[in-house]
Amino acid sequence: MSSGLYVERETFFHKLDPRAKLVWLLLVLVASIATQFNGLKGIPVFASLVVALSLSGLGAGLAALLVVNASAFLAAVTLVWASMYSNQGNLLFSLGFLKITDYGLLVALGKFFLIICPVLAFVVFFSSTKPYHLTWALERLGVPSKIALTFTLALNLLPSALRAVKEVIDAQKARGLALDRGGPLQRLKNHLPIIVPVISKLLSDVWDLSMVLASRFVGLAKRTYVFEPSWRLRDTLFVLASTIFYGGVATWGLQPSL
Amino acid sequence: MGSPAVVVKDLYVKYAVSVEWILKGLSLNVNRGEMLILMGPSGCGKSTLLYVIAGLIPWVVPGEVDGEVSVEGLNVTDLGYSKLAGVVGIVYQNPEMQVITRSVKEELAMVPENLGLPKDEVVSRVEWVADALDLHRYLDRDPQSLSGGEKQLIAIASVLTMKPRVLLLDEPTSMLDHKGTSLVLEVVSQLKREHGLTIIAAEHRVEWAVEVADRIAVMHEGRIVLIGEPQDVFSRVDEIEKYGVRPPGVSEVVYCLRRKSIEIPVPVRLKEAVEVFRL
Repeated sequence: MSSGLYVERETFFHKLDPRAKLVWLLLVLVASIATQFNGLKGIPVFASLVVALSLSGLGAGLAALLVVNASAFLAAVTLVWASMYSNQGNLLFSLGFLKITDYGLLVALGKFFLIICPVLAFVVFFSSTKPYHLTWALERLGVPSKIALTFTLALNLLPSALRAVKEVIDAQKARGLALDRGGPLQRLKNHLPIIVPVISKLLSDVWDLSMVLASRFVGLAKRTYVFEPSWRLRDTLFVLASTIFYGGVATWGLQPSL
Repeated sequence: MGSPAVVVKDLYVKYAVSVEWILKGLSLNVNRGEMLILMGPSGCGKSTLLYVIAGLIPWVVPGEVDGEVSVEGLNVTDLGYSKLAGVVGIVYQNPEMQVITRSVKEELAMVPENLGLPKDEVVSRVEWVADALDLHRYLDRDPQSLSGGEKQLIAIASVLTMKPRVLLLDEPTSMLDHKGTSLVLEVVSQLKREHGLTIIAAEHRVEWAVEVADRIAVMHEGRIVLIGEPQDVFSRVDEIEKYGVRPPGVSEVVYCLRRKSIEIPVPVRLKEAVEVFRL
């Protein structure tokens, strides 16, 4: 159907039980939420995710790339949040009507980590967890078989949808469509001939897929899994280490700092 | 051939969104181990007929079904697709949407897993189909790295793991290149030859159809207008062309000669044409 987000590799994260990775994901979310008002406290969480990216075979370079690409977002977050806390902390500098304080900057950085850290954790999780194992793990957590598979398929459909958009753009360009002509409004208008074929293709794909799933008897009985992952000592150690680390960071993050 | 595996009597079908009937009083018997190929222009009802036999209409695809359809003695319109596991399997056109998992092994295990079969039975079925279709070299591969033809082959294998007695093929080669088409058609021929499956296929490749089909059914506007052995059907060149079906190339050539009053029998296979021109 589509390649999905999973990348076939033989790394530490790929070998972990999906349940251990789910616990880790949850801990990252908790630590990110707990440190959202102090960016300095969020740095260990971010650093741990750079390590996780390396251990999942994606490399710290991807984290750098994501952060660089997110720099505009970071700047916007900084301005918005820092200005909201302009009455607290020491004034560092003013940008017109915006007053940036040290407290405001810490909050802004914390909010940035609150967004970027879970994103990186999800990237690590989905790129190192086979869709088959993800479905299995969700079922083990009590999610009904049909919903577990639907969730996994929906994730796989995202790259498929992007590919459909590219195919339609290429096809329309071959017919003379110029997307980058004119002002912003005209450019938006230029995209109209893409929307209908993309929606039509996606609907057709989803229809085909639903027929295939029905005739493969998805959700008919309690599914057997023959390629189940097994919980090992490394999973226990990983969960323990993660609990201690992220638990510690979260506790630190919840303590009043200023 | 034995008793009928599929019986269709006076079948009328329309989709929930249709105004008119798509199938109009269609009747058909397909014997056990027989291979029937449905031919006809787009929109004549080939896929609709296959969906009804697979129990998908009206259970998955909303629609109205009137008439009798039974497969291996089971009334499919009453039972629906979910009761037909191990009886009917269907393969669709688009190989891209039929391969769902990230390893061929997982793909082949999917149907027996969904049926909740015991683990050793699932493994045994995967091994059986890998042996039967010589798929061992693919087992550890990511299906996304396979060609369209190979994906379609895996889709057929995946359906076979439910051990269906009747295999339905809805234009399985229409989205494949020449190489992929040859691969799939060879496997389908092998299934008929070596495993004696009852096969109903909608397929446009006439040269292949005349070689492997026991019977050809030509459909037109929701009805079967011609049915018989390939020789009988394809030798009626004028008639099948009228219904939008292209005859085999050799039949067309000989038919042109007959129009010029050269009286020779109409061949449908290349080897028969060679014999005809030797005379």
